[in-house]
Amino acid sequence: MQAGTSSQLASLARYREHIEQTAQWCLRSVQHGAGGSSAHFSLYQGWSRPYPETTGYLIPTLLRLERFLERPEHARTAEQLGQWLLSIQNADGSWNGGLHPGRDPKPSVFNTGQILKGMAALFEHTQAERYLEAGVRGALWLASRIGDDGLWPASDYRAAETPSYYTHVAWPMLEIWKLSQRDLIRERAERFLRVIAQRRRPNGVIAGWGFEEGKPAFTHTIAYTIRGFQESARLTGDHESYEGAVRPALERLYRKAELAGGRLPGHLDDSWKSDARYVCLTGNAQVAICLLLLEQRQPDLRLVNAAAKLCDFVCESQRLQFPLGGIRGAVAGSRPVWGRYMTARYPNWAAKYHCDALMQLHQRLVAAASTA
Amino acid sequence: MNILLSSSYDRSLPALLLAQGLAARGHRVCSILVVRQARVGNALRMVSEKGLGGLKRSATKYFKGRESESTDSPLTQLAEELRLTHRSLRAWAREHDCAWTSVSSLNSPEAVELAKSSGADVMVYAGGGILRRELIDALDGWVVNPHCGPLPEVRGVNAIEWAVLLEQPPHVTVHLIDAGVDTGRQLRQLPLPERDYASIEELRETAVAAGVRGVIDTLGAVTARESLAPRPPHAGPVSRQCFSLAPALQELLAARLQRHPHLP
Repeated sequence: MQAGTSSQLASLARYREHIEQTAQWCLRSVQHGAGGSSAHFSLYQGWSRPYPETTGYLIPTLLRLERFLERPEHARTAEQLGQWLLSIQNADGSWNGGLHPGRDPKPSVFNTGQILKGMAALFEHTQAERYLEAGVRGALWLASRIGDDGLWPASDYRAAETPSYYTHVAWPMLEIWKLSQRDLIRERAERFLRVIAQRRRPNGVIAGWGFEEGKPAFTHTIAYTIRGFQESARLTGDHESYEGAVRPALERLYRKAELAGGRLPGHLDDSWKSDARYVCLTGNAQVAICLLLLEQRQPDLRLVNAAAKLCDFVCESQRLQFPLGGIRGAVAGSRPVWGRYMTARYPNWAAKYHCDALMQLHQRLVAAASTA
Repeated sequence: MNILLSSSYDRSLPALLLAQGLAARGHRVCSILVVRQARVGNALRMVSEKGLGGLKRSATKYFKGRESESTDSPLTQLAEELRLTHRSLRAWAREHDCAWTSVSSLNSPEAVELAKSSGADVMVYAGGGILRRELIDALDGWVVNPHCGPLPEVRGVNAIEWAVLLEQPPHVTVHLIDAGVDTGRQLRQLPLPERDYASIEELRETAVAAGVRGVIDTLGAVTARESLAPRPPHAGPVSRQCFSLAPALQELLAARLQRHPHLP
C-alpha cells in the first residue's frame, strides 16, 4: 500500500481489518470442513459439511488474500483445498452437486463450473499440471453437455430451462480455454452466452436470471449473471456482445444501490421492483464487484462510490469481536439475519465475495489516492 | 418580477440570502413556501443515512440557521454584504409583506395551488425536495435552481465535491428545473473564486454562496422572465447522476484538497 495520500484514508484501514477477520473466518471454515470449506455456519447446527462448489471458488480468493495480506497460510490452504477437490472429481471430469458427501450424489453443471475457477487459479499459481488436467476434463464434460440449442439439459436445476446465471459457468470454461487453448470449450461456452444474451429485455433485465422462473431473483444470481458476462468479455475480448449485454442492468443497479444507500433489496422482479425487507449480503458484495469491474473499463469514481456503500453495509453487518468463531468475521446470508436468503446462516460464499469486493475496492482507492 | 421562493426549512440562510438579494434588485418576493421537515420519519432516515452526527448537524442548522455559520463563512460574508438581519424566512416575510406558508411537500396539491395563485413569474428553488411535473407546470417551467456544480457533467448531490473528484471545472450552474435531475436548460454558469480551499466544508459553502449570487445576478434587473433566454437543452447523453459521498470518497476528496488546495 502506498504511503502518503492513501494513508490519510481511514477507510483503507477499516477495510483491511474486515478483510483480515473475514479471511480468518474462511480459514476456520476449512478447519471445520473435513477436507473442504464448510458450506455455512448456523447457530442451530454449527458448521456444516463441506461444499465442493464454493470450496472451488474460494481458492482464487485465498490466493488473492495471500498476496494482499502477505500471509502464506492462505496459499497453503488453497492448495490443500485443491487437493481435496481433485480427490473427489468424478471419472468423467464432473463434480457432484450439493454438500459432500452427498446423500444422492449427481454430477452438477453449475458446481463443476465453479470448481474450475479453483483449478485455473491453482494452475496459474503453482504451474502444477494436475490442476490444468482436472480443469480441462471438467470443462470438456461441461462442453459435451451443451446441446444444439446452446443450453444445458433441464435436469441440473429447479427451472425448466437453463437459468441465465449459468453465464457463471461459461466464464470458468473460458478461463480453462485460455490456459489450455482447447477451442471446443470456447465454442460451446460462447454458444451458451449468445443464447442468454438474447434474453435481455428492453429494461436491462436478463430473463431467467433467478433460481426459479416467474419469481423475483436474488441479487446473488443477478450478480452471477452479470459477472459471468463481464468476465467472458474480458477473456474473449468481445466487450460489445458480452459486457454490452449487461451494461443497462449495471446502470440500474448503480442507481438502485445509491438510492438505497447501499442497502440493495434482497430480491428484484423483472420490473426492477422489490417487496424485499432484507438485503442479500452476498448479492451486495457481488454487485459491488460488478460495478468495480465496469469501472476498470470506464473509470468513474461514482461507480466506486456505489461499490463503497454496498461494501460498507456488509461491513456494518459483521461482528469482528465475537466469542463464537462461527460468527466472528462471518457474513450472514441476509440482513436482518432472518431474511429470505440463507436464513440464519453464515455462508462461506458470502465471506468469499466480501473479501473479493473489499480487496478490489481497497486496491482502487489506493490507486485513486496515489493520483490525488 | 414576482418571485415565489421555496425552502426546506425556515432558518435556511441560503434561502434568506436569496430573498434579501432579489428584493434588493427590485424584485418582489411575493410568496415563500417552507417544507415541514421536522418529522420522525425524516429524522430516522437521516440517522440511517448520515448517522447521529449528521442528524445533529442538520438539526443545528434547522434550529439555529445562520447562527450556526462561522463569521468568516462565505454565506455569513454575503449576509453582511446584503445587510441581512432576519433569522427566519417567516420574519423576513412579515417585514416584506410576503405570504409565508408551511407545506408538507412542494408537490402537495396545496403547494401546487399556492404556486398557481401566487402571481409569481418565476419560482426560485432553495430546497424542499425533488419537484414533480405538477409544480413545475404551475410556473410554466420557470423554476430557477442554483446547482452547486458544472452542468451537464455533474448532476445530483454533492455536486461541487464531485466536480473536484471527477476533475471537472469547479463551477456552479443556474438552470431551470425540469422533470429530470439537473437536466433543465441552463441560464448561466459561473466559476468558483480561484484560490486555495482548505476543506470540503469551505468548498461547499463557497459553492452555495456562489450559487446564491449567481441566481441574484441572473435574475438581476430582468423584468420579464422570457428575457432570461435559457440555453437550448443539452443534446448529448445524460451524465451518470451523482449521489452523496461514501466515507471513503469523502476521505479521498479531503486528501486531494490537502495536497492540491488551489482550484481550479
